[in-house]
Amino acid sequence: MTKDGALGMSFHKLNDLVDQARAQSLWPLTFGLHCCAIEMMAASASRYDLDRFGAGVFRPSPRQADVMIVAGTVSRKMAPAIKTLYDQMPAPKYVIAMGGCASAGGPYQYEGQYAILEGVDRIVPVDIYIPGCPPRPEALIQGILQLQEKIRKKELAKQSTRANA
Amino acid sequence: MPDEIPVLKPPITAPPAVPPPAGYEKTGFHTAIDISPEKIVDVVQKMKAAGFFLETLSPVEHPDHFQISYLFNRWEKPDRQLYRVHLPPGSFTCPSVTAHLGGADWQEREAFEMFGLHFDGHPNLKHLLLPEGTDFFPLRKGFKFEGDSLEGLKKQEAVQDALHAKEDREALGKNVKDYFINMGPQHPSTHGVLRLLLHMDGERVLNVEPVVGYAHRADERIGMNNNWQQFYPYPARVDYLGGMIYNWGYVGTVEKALGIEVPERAQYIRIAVCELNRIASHLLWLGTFLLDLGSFTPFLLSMDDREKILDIIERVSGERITYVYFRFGGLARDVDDEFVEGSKKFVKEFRKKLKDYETLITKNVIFKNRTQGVGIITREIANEYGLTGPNLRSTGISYDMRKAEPYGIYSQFQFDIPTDTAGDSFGRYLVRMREMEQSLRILEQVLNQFPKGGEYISPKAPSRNIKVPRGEYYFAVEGARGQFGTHAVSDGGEIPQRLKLNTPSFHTMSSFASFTGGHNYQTSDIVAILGSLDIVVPDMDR
Repeated sequence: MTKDGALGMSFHKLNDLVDQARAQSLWPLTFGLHCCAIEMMAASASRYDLDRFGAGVFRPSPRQADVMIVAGTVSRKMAPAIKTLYDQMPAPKYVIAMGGCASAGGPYQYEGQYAILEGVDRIVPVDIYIPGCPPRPEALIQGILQLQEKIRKKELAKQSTRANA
Repeated sequence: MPDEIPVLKPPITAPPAVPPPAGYEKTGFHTAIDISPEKIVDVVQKMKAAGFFLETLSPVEHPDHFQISYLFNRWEKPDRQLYRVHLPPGSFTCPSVTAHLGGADWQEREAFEMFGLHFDGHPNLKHLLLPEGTDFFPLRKGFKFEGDSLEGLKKQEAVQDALHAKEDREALGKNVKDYFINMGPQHPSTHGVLRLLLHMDGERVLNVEPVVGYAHRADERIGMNNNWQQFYPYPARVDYLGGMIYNWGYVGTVEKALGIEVPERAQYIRIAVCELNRIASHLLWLGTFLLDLGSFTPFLLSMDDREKILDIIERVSGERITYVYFRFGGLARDVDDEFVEGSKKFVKEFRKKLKDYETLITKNVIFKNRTQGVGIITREIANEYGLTGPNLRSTGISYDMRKAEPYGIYSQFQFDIPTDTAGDSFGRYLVRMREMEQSLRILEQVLNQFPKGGEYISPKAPSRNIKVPRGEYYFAVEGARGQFGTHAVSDGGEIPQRLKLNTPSFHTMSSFASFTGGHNYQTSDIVAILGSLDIVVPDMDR
C-alpha cells in the first residue's frame, strides 16, 4: 500500500501473474479456412506438438477460445461469419493472421479482385502476422511465442484498427 | 431474369470462334460436335441412356457470342465427347438440362453466376459460390471489381438478413414440427468452410442442403487474367492435400496443347512425387476421418507418417504442401540420390505401418458400426453426378485416369485399381487403404528402375512468352480424390481465353444431398459420411 491508498506494486504484480497465466494457456479456436489450416493441424499433431506451449487445446466453440488463428484466405462470403465468431469470443481475445492471405490477400490479391478480403485486419484487430504461403508449423509456433511475449508485455493490438477507423 | 443481364456488345468485325478441336492426342477430345441450343436436351438424354456422365460444363466467352462446352465421358471405354452449344449473338439463354441430369444443377448455377447465362427451366437458378445478392459476373471478359470489398460486405449482409428473416417468417407461419440446423461454415467436422443446412425431424435428418462458396478465391479468374506460366502456383492451392498431382493436371494441359515431350527422368520423378503425395493425402484423410468419428490415436499416427513424406517432397520441391514444382516440359529442379534412397526407405517402413493401421482400424467394431451401410452411393447416383475417384470406385466401378487414359509413363508400371461393391463409408475407407498399397507398389517399381542420368526438363521447354495455339484442350489426371481436369481454351495469345478447373470435390458435394437425405440418418451419421467422402473445400469452391 502506498500513501495515497493505491495498491501500487502488489496490484501491478498480480496483473503480471494473470497475464503470465493467460500467455501460457492460449486456447485456439478450431477454425481452418484453407491450406494454412493443414499446417495448423500439423503444428498441433505429433511432430510439432503445440501442446508444449500450452496452445494445443483447440476449442470448437468460440465462447471457450482465447485466440483465433485465421488460417487461410478470408473470402467475402466467409467474412461476416469470421466477424461473428470474433464477437462471440470472450475478452481478452487475440487474433493471429496466419499466412499471406490472412495478412494481406497473398497470391489471391490482384487489382480488381472480387472474391476475398485483402487481410483479415479489415474486419478484426490482428495481434500477430505470420508470413508464408503457407507458414511452416515452426512459424506458427514462433507466432504463438510472440503472442505470449506481447501478452506479457501488454503490447496488444488496440480495438481501434482499420476496421473501426 | 434475362433482362437484368447487361447486353454484350459485339465488336463490328468479330473474328470467328475457335474451330472445333479434333484428335484425342492433340486436344483430349475423342469427338467434338457443334450444336444449337435447342438440341442440348436431346443430346443429354441420349448420352445418359448410352451410359455417359457429364464431366463438366464450361462456358466460354467469344468476342461475339457465348459457347457452352458440355464434356461427356464414360467408364467402360474412355470416349470424351465435346458438345459445343453456340448461343446466337446477344443471347444469354440456353435450355436447362437439370431435369434430365442432376449433376448439371450446380454446374448450371455456376455458369449463371460467373457468366450471367440463363438456363431456361432450371428449378433453382440462384448463386452457388458467390454470396447472395452479388450483382456482377466475374468471369466475363475484362471484368474488374470496382469499389471496396467491405462495402459489398455490408450490402451482402443486408441481403442475407432479409432472406433469413423471410425464411423465419415462413417457418413460423407453418407451425411445423421439423426445424433447420445450421452446420458450419465454422464446424470442426466440415473440413474447412462448408455449410450444411440440415432439415431435421427430431434427431433424424430429413434433407441436407450444402451451401458452398465460403472458400471461393477466384482461381479461374486469376488464370484468365495472367499468362500461362503465371498460373503455376495456383493448382496446388486448389487441392492443397494432393497439390503435386494438380500441378501435373495443369502443366499437362499446356504440354498437350504445345506438343512438348517430357524427358524420361522427369517422367519418373513426376510419378514418384505424385504417388508419395497421394499417400500423404490419404493419410491426412485417414486421420481426420477417424477424428470425426471420435478416435484420436490414428490422427497422431498418420500425421507422423505424413511428415516423413513431406520431408522427402520438401527436399525436392522446397514446399511442404503448396508445391510449384512442375514446369511445362519437366520440373523446376532435379532430385538427388538421397531422394531415391529416402523414398525406398519410406516405402519399406510404411508397408509395415499400413498393416498396423489395418489392425487398429479395419477390425474395430465401433468403427464398423459407424460406417457400414451408411451413406451408400449407388452407381446411378455416381453416373448422374459424374463422381470419380475412390468415391466412385467404392461402388464397384474400376475407373481411374491412370488406367483409363494413362498419362505420363503410368502404362509402364504394374498396379491394380482397388474397388469395393458396398458403396458405403466403410467401402470408401477400404478403397483408400488399398490405394495406398498400390501407390507403394508403383513407387517400388519407379524407384527400382529410376534412371541414373538424364534431363529433368526438356531442353526445348518454353520459358517465356508462351503462346498456346488456338483451340480447345482438356487434360485430366487422377487426383487423390478423383479426376482433376483442366479445360483450356486459347485464342492463340499469351493469356488463356478460358481456364476451367474440373475438380472432384465439386461433383461429390453436388451429389451429397442425393444419398444423405431421406435415409433417417442422425446428425452424427452426416459427420461420418462427410468425413468418408474426403472433400477439400477449395477444391470444390476454387
